[in-house]
Amino acid sequence: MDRHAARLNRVLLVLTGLLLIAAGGTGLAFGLGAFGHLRAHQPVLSRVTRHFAAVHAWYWPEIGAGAVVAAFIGIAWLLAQGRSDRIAGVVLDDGDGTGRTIVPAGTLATALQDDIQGLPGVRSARVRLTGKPSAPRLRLNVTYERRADLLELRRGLQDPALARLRGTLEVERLPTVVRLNLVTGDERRVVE
Amino acid sequence: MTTRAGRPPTSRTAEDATVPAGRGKRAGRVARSAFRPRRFMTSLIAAVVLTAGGALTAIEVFSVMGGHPARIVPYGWFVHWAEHASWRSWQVLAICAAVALVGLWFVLAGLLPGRPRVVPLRGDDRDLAMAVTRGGLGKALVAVAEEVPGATQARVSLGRRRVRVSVHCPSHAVDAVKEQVRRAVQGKLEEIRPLTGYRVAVRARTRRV
Repeated sequence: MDRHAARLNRVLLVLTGLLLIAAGGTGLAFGLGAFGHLRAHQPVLSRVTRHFAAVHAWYWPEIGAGAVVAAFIGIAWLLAQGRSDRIAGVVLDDGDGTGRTIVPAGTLATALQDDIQGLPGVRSARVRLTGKPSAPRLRLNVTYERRADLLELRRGLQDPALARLRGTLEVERLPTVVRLNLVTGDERRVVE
Repeated sequence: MTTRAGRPPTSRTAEDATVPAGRGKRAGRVARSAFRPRRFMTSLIAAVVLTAGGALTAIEVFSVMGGHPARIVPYGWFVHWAEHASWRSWQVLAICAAVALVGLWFVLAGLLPGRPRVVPLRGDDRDLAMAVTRGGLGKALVAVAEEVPGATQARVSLGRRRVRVSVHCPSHAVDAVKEQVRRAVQGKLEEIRPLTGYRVAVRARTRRV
């Protein structure tokens, strides 16, 4: 899932939450007599409501249309959860507008992986290219020897590993997110 | 015995010292944002409920309008109940309160930043956000604590802003071991440089010697 999906999640959660608060709050206001005691004693589905639905031809089609819209939003939201932000390649601009070159993401990832695995203390590394083909981003999962120096790893990642890739891709910035797992041979119990 | 660790001035290297303060702050913001929880599970629940509710309502409404009610859900009893339950009945009030509470949960999940599952690290480069897994950090701190002479069977618990370390040690050396463990764990945190300034609390479990 990408950061766009994370933003979408938060926006839709707030909107859905506000709708639910409004619906629940209105029901509570009815029940607690905010709209008068007479209204509080009326049934939830009153004759007035049924009559309103019966005499207005648009009522049920509107409810149905609203339900269809809600279902489509729900499906789109579900699909966004499984969407990957992985890209298949990076577009290199030739600069003179005559053409463009596409470098496969796998090639770049393998080259960077090899670079990172050559750094002291790194046990394994997994590289994923994300973002847009014209503006790539990197997600790295690095398994690192816990006794090794993290500052040294940071410097090693900045230069030569990422600097070399930036040079190859001819991009100024290459936003990178690194998830480190510190490991060792013996495992001890950790309470989280 | 507690002390602050994580961002002491002594841990800054010569290279860091040349970095303007604003850059570090911006890099910290980027790192925090990169590892913010994505609210996957809450969104999944909300999306499933929205899809199921919307689809069922649409099917029932349009099938009734077409003259062939689908009746996937037995809404007859619900209509009967709703015609007889008043707004002030406890069932209706409870349902409305539950709906409002779920709404509040969603709004808070959307607005609150949340606690990352990993521990973001400090850095000076906003294009390089790093974090360590909580388990990995905990194990690294356990190893450091157990390197202290006399300290064995260390356990580490990572809180929101506090690291609790518990070690076994001989009863005659409690104070010395606690101080050494605290220093060792603090030193390791200064080396790992988490974005959050952790307080280190050490507890000694003595055993008969």
